[in-house]
Amino acid sequence: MTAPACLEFSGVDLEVCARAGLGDLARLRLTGPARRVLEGVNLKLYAGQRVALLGANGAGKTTLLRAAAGVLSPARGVVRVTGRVGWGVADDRAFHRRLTVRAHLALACALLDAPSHEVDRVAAACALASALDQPVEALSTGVRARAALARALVGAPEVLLLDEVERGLDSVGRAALAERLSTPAGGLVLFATHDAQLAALASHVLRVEAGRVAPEVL
Amino acid sequence: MRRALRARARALAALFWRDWLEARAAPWSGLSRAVSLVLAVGSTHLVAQAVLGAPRTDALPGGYFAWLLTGLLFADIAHALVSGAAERLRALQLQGGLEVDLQGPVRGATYVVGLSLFPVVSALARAGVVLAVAAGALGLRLDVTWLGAAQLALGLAALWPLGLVAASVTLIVQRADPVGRLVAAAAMLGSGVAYPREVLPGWAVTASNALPTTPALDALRAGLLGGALSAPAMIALCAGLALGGPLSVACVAQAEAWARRHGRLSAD
Repeated sequence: MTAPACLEFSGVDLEVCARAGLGDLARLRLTGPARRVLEGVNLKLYAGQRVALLGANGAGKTTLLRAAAGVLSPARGVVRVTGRVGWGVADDRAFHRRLTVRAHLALACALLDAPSHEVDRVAAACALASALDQPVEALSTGVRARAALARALVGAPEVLLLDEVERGLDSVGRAALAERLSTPAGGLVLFATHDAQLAALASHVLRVEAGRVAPEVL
Repeated sequence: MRRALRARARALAALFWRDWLEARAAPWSGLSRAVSLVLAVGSTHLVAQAVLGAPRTDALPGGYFAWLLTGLLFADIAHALVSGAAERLRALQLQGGLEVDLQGPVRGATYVVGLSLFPVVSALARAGVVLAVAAGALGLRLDVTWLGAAQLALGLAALWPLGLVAASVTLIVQRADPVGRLVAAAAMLGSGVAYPREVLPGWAVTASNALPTTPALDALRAGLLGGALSAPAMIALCAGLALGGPLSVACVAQAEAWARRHGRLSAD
């Protein structure tokens, strides 16, 4: 018997719309022109896999991860996710500059319905103990990236989605990330990267080109 | 069921706590707001002195000062109820944090209510301070009963669905709170914030009766200055809450689904 997929995309087309302009509103349209970002994506990924998403800028890697995280719904097709999802993004969108790392992690625990003691666990996993009570605006880029990784690990997700979180990571953070990617774990890790060393840790590689996904042999 | 409710309450508390921490980290903003409120109480008192004896103001319950002050407090609280979540949601939409917050199990109405908690609690606290200052220093006389307090609570609760609708519209049109601005302007013009509605032309009085803010303001004045709410106003508030509540929750759910489908949770 085949194990059920952790993450499945079936015939997924995904469009992102621009904000409606005056002309659109005059035609009673609530959006501007739509741009197709993913097209006909079929994927089945399973627990235990560590899958690297490779591709040029703008190819659709981030969009694919956003769809897997559930913040984008497909125009056509279905995205199915089994288990708790953790989503790590390297930019500042996950952060409120004046709040401490502890406050961010506690908020993530509350919003993801994870136990509060997860704060200490993920902070330890990402070597953040000394930065826990500092506001995000006081952190270096690398420590901030570690905090983003820690936020993604809250609740011990079965499906971990990482969007170029290696950007700005210092050696400690890279070691934590590499450990996460190289240790055989129960869950699925899907990560977008431009880093060849990290991609080499993947058990599978997918290449995204112009919104289409193709498997690539390592 | 109980676990789901507990998770929802925890998410609400966490959102309130986040906004409180953010406000605490920028104390100058809160301090300047408090000072400007105290100045507003003083100018309200002076305006009331200036129009003392003017027709239609002498007979107002509590005197014109109390009447005007409660009107202005209502405008502040109504702004928090109607626009608080929409403004916060727009800021998060621009920053990108909205996607991160809504990536988990927390959905629609719970999230929007969570975003409005801090602005509403702050506005109520501000109102409390203003009333205390006005009662202590400027002779404001309040007449609060249990029934009045219940009417007041009903009046304010009946505005909450408008806040959910305003947040839904902001989510879709990606503009800062067009609904809230309209509601605030209409309330200032027609609900009797600064002058009695009787000074309006007849058709405008009829139109002002249809504004959701009109019975809510009447309820706030009845709650603070004594007097009973009229039966039509009470019915309007109960109907607004009973019908508007579920409809606004459905409205948020639809707007959220639409935003996810069109990639509008963020401003990318």
